[in-house]
Amino acid sequence: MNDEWRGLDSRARWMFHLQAASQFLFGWVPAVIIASLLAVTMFQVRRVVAADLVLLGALFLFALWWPSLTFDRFRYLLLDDRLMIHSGVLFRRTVVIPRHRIQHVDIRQGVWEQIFGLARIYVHTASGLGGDGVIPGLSNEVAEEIRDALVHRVGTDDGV
Amino acid sequence: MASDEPEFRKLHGASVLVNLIPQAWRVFRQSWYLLIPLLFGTRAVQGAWLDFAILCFFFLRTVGATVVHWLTLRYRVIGGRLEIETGLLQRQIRSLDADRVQNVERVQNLFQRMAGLVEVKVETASGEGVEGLLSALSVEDADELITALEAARVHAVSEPPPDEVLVENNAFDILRFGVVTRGYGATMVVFGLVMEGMQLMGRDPTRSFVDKLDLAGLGVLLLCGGWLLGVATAFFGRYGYRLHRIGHTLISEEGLLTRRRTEIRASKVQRVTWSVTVPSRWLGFGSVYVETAGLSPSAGGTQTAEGVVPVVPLAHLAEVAGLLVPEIKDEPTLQPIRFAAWYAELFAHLLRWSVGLAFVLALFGWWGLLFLVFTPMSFGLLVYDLMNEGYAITAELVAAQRGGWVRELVVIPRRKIQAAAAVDTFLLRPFGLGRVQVWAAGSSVLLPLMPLEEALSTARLLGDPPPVPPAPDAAGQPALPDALPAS
Repeated sequence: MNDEWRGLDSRARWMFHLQAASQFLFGWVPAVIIASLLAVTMFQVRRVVAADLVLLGALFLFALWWPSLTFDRFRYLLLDDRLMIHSGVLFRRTVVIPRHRIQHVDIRQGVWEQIFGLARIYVHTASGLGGDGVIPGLSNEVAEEIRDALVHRVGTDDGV
Repeated sequence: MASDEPEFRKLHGASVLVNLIPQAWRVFRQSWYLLIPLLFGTRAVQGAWLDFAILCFFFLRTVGATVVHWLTLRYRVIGGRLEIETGLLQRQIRSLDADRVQNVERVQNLFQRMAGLVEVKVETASGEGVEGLLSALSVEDADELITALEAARVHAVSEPPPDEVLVENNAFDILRFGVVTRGYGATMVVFGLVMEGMQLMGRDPTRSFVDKLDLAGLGVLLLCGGWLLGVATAFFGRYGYRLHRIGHTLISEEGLLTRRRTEIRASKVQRVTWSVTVPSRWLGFGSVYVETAGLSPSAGGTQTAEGVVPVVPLAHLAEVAGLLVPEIKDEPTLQPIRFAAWYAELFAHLLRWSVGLAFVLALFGWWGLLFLVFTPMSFGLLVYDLMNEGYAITAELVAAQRGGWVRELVVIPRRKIQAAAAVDTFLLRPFGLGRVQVWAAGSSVLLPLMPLEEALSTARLLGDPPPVPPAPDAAGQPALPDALPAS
């Protein structure tokens, strides 16, 4: 693998958008409707409907715009001695994981990943408290390549 | 099965009764709010039969689990590992590599001590609770098991090493520790008992107390009661504290009614924290907390600190920490936080304070403005915290200090770092600041705010392979410093 920052597979952008759309349709919309049914007992119907439209409009714009931002800002870098993952929009995070600290690597595919032919890598260290790394939106071939590169080191001190 | 293989052993026959009493007490403690009105309520309580059925269910479940546990559990040490078989319908064989053991704890509550029994807990770094729990062994069987585990390790030494006492706290020391320990959780327990007690006596608690005591008096009463309960709990839990070392194993012993003995291998120490509060500083001491990668759940949460040295003279804090982590030679020289970090922290606090004020005003109207009375104290405490905040990164250690009222210095050896991350948020971005979080196995430390570029380069630096450790001794263990001279 080259020593340069890499982004996610291009199909991941569409996957993120569809995930956000389904979250909007099947999560936010029902939640706003239920909240409105409770709110009409306390406020005027007209005001509740206006608030709903504003809220749903904002959430819709968020679902339209946010996935692309998340996709564009996700980068990872695999060096000889470490894995670095940079992600986040409002809360940006750069994680550095020494390769000799990696305990094991998982490759997972949810429903959306299977539809798009993508996979997600979970890198586990002994920290157990969030110091592990996740790389979503990888093609199956790249995910396996990264996994093979990360787990071949055995017998080194894992610091535990 | 080969005839020379060690045989499986079972728990002591008295374990059913010895475990039943504390288990039943635990069920009672967790459901006292159901039990007290049920047993002593003067009015018929709707759903009382349901509460009674729920309590009976949990009690019978406890009895059943205790009996099954005794009937089915058996253990042995074979081929360098501890094997524990348990279960009736769902059988499980757990194998723990002796070299992967983080710490071994021996606990004797009052009933176990009367019966000559001990509970042994063996923890690894999996973080899934106590991986090896043997709830009642005879003292001889427990000693034999721990000796066998030690012998099964790859770098086991053949000659028994000497026992060196490192720190000893007497009763007065423990009382000092208890006095400064906060007991706010106990306050709520006392509050609940007082309220229930008054209702049982047929009095309306709010009316009686408003008539006879003002609310401030009630608050003082409850805080004092909770504090006294906290002092007593700390005293009974830490009584007779002793830290000693046998070879490369650190052993802490404490407890009056329940005697607890924790064995931690020095090489497994992940993090050391020394903590000094303002009251403890007045009394001339601080406390040292030790963490390994073994996390175990305890009542009410996850226990992260494996060992606590309750009372250490202020001048010896670094020395005691150095006994646990050899890389600590002296108190690290800390770099204070940057000027921009002051602005960022004060701004963030102002935002939080404003949200709190808005919330209070929404609830209480203009009376909520009384909340502003606490503003100088809140900002004053923040400034005091920031004055004491700092960090240090050396070739061997990462250290971070935070807090004024409760000052904590956290140290992680760089050879134990699992990962590091630099984080910045949309609130910090205008200030050009970021933070670094460093993970060891089962713990982490957050460094103070610093320029974002520095945070990124620091995270990369900490992800470098660890520096060359001190030359190990013949048993393959890192060299340990000498014990403190006896005071």
